[in-house]
Formats: sequence, C-alpha cells, structure tokens
Amino acid sequence: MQTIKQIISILVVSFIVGLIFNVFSPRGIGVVKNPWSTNTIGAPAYQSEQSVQWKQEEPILFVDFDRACQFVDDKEGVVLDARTPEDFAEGHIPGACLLFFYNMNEYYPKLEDRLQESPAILTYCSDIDCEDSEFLANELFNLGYAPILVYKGGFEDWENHQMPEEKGRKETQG
Amino acid sequence: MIKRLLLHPVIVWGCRLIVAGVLIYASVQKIWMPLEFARLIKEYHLLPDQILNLVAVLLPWVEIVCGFCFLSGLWLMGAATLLSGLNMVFAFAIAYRAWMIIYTTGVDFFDLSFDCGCGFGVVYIPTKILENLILVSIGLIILSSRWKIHAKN
Repeated sequence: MQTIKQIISILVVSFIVGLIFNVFSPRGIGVVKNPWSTNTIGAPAYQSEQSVQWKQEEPILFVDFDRACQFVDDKEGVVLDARTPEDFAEGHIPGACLLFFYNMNEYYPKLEDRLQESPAILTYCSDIDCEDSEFLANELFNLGYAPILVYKGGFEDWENHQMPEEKGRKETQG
Repeated sequence: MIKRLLLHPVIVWGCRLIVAGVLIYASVQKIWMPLEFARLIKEYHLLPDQILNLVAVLLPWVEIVCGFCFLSGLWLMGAATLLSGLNMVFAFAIAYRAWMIIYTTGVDFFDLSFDCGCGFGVVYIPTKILENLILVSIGLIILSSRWKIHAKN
C-alpha cells in the first residue's frame, strides 16, 4: 500500500512539474497536438537565401518526384538510400549512397565527411509507406545537418517514372 | 551468500547512485528536446498520435523525479518499482521494434542499431536491451533491500 502511495506521489509530482515546465519552456510543445505536421510536397528549388531560410524554419521537407529529380540532376547534394544493403545492390538512384538507417553505426562514419561538405541532403527508402527515409532525416537533423529533403515516393516512385538506376554494392559512391 | 552480498548497504548505495545518474542524464536529454522525443516514440508505432506529445512531455519527468528519489531516499520503494516496471516496458518495446525491423528488412539482430529514444542517441540494440534488463534487476535489488529493512522494523 505504501509503495502504491509513493508511486502515485511520484507520478503526481512529475506530471505537475512536467506540464508547468512545458508551458514556460522555449522548446515546449502542445500536449494534445500531433507532432507530425511537417509536410511540404513539391518544395521549390532553393537558392542560397532560401537555403538559409529552410535551415531555420523547415529543416526537413517532404518532396515529390519532380523536386527529387531536380535535386539529382543538378547534383544539389548527397542522395542517401535508407534501405537495406541488399535492396541497394538490386538498384538505387544514380549517385546515391547507402546509409542503412538501422545500422547507422557502421554506415554513417564512412559518409560523415561527405555529408558535412554537402549543402543539402536528399533521403529516400522503398516506397510511400516506408518511413525509414523520414527517420533518417530526423536523425541527420539531430546530428546538425540541414536542409534535408525526404523523397516520400521512394525508389518505387523513381522506378515507376522509368528513371535510370544503378546496381551494385559500391555503398559510398556518388 | 549472493543475496546477502547484493543487499549489502554499499552495493545498494552504489546501485542507487548509478541508476540516479543514468535516469537524470537521460531525462535531461529528453526534456530538452520534447518534440524530437515524441518523434522517436512515434517510430515504435505502439501509441496513438494523439498522446505522443503528452507522453513525451511527462515521461522524462517521471524518470528525473525517480532519479532524485534514488539520490535522496524519498519514496524509494515507489521509485524502485517504477524503475523496474518502466524498464521492463522499454525492453519489451525495443525488442518489439527490433523484431519488426528484422521481419521487414531481414537485418541480423546483432547488426542492429538505432536511436531508441533512451536519451543516448543511436545505440547498439542487443546491448541496450541487456542494459534495460540490468536496470530492472537493480530496481528489484533496491526494492528487496527496502523490504528487508521494513521486515526488520
């Protein structure tokens, strides 16, 4: 009984302090709001000024095929494939580098220098239902990278548009 | 013999300090970036979107209050029970997510690493699950030591 009272006391104190802190914190968030509101399909090609603005306001942007295609054609930055090494070997966007999201400890160090030099990053995974490109973008943003574009349609969308693809396991090419 | 050794006051104090340090450090990271923590919780697909932010705001404070309870000795049994219970849930959630990733990608369990939302960034998952189970055990050791004191009294 005493343990239950103590648990309730801890929870009550935590909830009160947590909610008050959240109200006054500059990083406080709405407690009933869905955090997944970032959704900019078909983002415009950014120029240098826009790039700075993106870093501050929309560091992660969801983009459609046209914008992804433009990013690749204009070589605006590093393209990252968040899928498995096997999927990558079977086919990927030309010039893309493999950064398998669930084994970042192995793949990230190989790409770190290139990512730091890159003015922007495009991530993609298998298809529109896949979330790994989004997770990878969040992880890279936490590591200090921006702007990051997430090609939501993924490799399936790329293939559906009859776009060229590369095969093989040269994981850090591009 | 082992039980007596585990419940020795010095060992229990050591456990309390270690757990307090881990909880306070990890919770400060989450309190500082609540939106990011909400994103990481979402990756588990275990909670509805409507309560993600609420959990992201409150859970780190439960951890930090427990951490201070371990340091001060206040509400120790409650904190130890919460520590064991929460870490059991965390271990299950991480194992579940690991299983989902293995199922969909075919990656080997012993090659798996991701940010589990534990406050330490990208971590090696087999070790992380083991760490959570160790924290469950430490909570039980602290709880047993308090029961022993209560039984004596």
